[in-house]
Amino acid sequence: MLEAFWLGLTSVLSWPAFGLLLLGTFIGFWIGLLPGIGGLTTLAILLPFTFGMAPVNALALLIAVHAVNGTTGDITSILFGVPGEASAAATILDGHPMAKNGEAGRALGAALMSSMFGAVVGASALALSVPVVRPLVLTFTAAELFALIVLGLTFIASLTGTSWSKGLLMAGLGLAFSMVGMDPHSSIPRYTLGEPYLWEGVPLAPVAIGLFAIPEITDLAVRGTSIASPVANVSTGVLEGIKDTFRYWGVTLRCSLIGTFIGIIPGLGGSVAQWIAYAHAVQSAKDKSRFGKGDVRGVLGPGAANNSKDGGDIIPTVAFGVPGSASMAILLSGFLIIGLVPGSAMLTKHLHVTFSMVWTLVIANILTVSCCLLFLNKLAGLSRVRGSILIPFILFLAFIGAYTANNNMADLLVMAIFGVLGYAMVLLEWPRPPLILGLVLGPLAENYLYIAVGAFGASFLLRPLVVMILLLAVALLFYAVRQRARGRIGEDD
Amino acid sequence: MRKVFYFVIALAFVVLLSASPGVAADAPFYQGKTLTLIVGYPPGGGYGGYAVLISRHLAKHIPGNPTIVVQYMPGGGSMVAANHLFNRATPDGLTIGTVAMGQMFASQIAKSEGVRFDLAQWKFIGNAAVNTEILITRSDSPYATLEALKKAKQPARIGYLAKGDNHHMFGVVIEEALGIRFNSIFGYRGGGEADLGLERGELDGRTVNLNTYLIQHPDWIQRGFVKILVQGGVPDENGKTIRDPTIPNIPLILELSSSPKVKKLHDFTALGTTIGRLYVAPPKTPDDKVEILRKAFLAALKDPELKAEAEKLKIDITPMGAKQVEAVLKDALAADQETVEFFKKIKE
Repeated sequence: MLEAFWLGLTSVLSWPAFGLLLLGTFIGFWIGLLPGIGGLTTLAILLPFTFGMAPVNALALLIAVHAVNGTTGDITSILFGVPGEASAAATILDGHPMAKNGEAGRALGAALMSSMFGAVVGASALALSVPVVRPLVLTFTAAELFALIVLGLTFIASLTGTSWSKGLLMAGLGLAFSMVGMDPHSSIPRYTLGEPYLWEGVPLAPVAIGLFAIPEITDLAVRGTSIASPVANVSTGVLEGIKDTFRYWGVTLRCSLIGTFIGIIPGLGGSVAQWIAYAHAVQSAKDKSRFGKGDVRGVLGPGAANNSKDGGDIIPTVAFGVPGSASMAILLSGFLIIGLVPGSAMLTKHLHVTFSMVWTLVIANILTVSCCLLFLNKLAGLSRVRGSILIPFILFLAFIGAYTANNNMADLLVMAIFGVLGYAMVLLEWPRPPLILGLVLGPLAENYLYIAVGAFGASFLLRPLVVMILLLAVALLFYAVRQRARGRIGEDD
Repeated sequence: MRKVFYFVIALAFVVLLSASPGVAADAPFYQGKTLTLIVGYPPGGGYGGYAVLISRHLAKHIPGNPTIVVQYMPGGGSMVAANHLFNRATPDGLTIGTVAMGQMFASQIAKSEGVRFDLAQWKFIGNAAVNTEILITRSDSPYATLEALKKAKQPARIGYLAKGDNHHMFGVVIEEALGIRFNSIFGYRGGGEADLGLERGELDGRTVNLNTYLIQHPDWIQRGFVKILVQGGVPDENGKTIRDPTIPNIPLILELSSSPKVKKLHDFTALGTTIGRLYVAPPKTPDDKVEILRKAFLAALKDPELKAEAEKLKIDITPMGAKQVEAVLKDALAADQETVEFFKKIKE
């Protein structure tokens, strides 16, 4: 295995693989930064170009794009409250308030450094776990996955926001919204109001932008100032953020591991990782009062998890042909094109190719973060610009972000509706993360429940791992209730 | 005055530019255009693989050499894409798609909810592959032979993707032929996930495409993880079903039962398996564009470069023109009422 480890590294550093890695990093950088053109679309567009390339070269390009657009997606989340990628929504919760407090530079530094940290930790964990990955993935059947989703939802619902009961209610609402669309089992349309547009369900990108970005934009307009309120000192810079990553190394490390684990287990989807990491950052902090108002740990967690999950995602895709996320699904079709077949061969005979993917992730991230650090302080200065100049620009970003996901005008309507909902939720102190998580996880939960009951009958609930996971969920709920009773969790969303 | 002058220059420029396409009026329709190929499944699957392969070679056989873009629209066993292609896609010859014939046929015949198309009105472009379906079961399960399957006390857990798709229909005909019932589990979102389900012990068996199985699971074959119990067979030149030469020792469904009902069911479902990779254009697409696409499709499939790549990727290509597809469809549509009723019930 060590051999494959080094062979992977040298193949990535050789030409033309390295050149393609640089190209991919460059492309991914801009794609992640600009909301709208998503990593997904870019990968699909690049795919045909990889025909005929040697596997390591093609993967260097594709994985570099994939790796980097998660990293730069945090930038617009922090500065403007508009998620650059759907996976950067959690960063808005504390990252944008930090910008409002004049700590934009610090937030940016923290997000980027933790991203790099996450990528490295994720890659290492991955390399070490190759021998145990197969048994690990095979242990988690649909029953355990269902339990994990219940755990994840409970975790997030109870820890974010002002009240655990509101959190659970919002999670339930999210689950209800997720039912809209064609029933995956018999293709019967549910709550689609007779519109084929809704057959695939409520689209995620417009909802994320509506729920999180629109309230921020509205708030900016209402305040009438620049993003950073005039009294705040913008110069708390990037260096501070970098130091934070190591100052709170515990949170950063644990969230990296969480991201890797979520990536490895196929079927949880990538966007869950950022929320679970955020909730963990809240839960593990002694002083929780600043979360939602600009606690740097709320940026470190999602930042690390987002990148470590990219590493984790690779494993189920490569070893089982089950894509860990939508981007991985596209990469999977890329495999077919470059002549690789996912399966245990990728963990044995072709292990160096798998490792080359991991190395690409790490190197592309290191390159990106190093480049970003050079001009981050200037970027942070944008938060000093007058709101009346910035708002049209930010609104434009938001609209593009919502529209280009599916090239459908109806998405803008969805964004507007959820924007109003999001603003109301902020005013009335109802937490938003459980809502969006319910929306994302609902279809998965339904599917796994269906399969679990079909395969094991009602006794799927008695499977040992399922019992353990569900008990953990209950325990977490009690813990959260107790913490709130003692006034230890913050007052604001 | 200067401003007016510049304005006039700009205006003239714009007018000239917009006039030029008119001058090139007899350039081929597809020149400078983008042809979108919609795939009814997620990327990474069989349909996606074929689509990407074909998209690489189709353009040069279309006069005007358009840019071809592959777009994935999964859902409902390709029904979401089928509905889109039938109703929402602009029928200007710039959008085509690949969907599952078997699934569409079964849904339409059963008048399932959610069907918003009519097979009789599609403009078919062609078919790229002929499938052989097989039933595989885990060697370590109590269902490792046909005998065991027949005698088992508990129904075998067989995993499927969408209700009514090819794989499901194949399973149903097997149930009829052997006189047994499976514990059918739906909802796997792709072959990869279902295979994982098989490995994890959620399932005892699956119905799969032989080619896909051979390409994706050389390790299963090597360690004898599963056994192939039954095959659907392939049509010979006269249309009669024979054993696929790759697996000559596996019995055909038709050999398991001589009941005329089974024969009728088999013929009805053979449509979906025979027409393995169907390509269609929206119903109102003008005939001249359809002709161009049909010719180009067959030419691309016979292109030696495409064949070489297909060989390398182990993708099986069996070109079938639109007329042949229509003929096979006509036979299937002539099914009797009893068969139709039977499958309607299955879909519920």
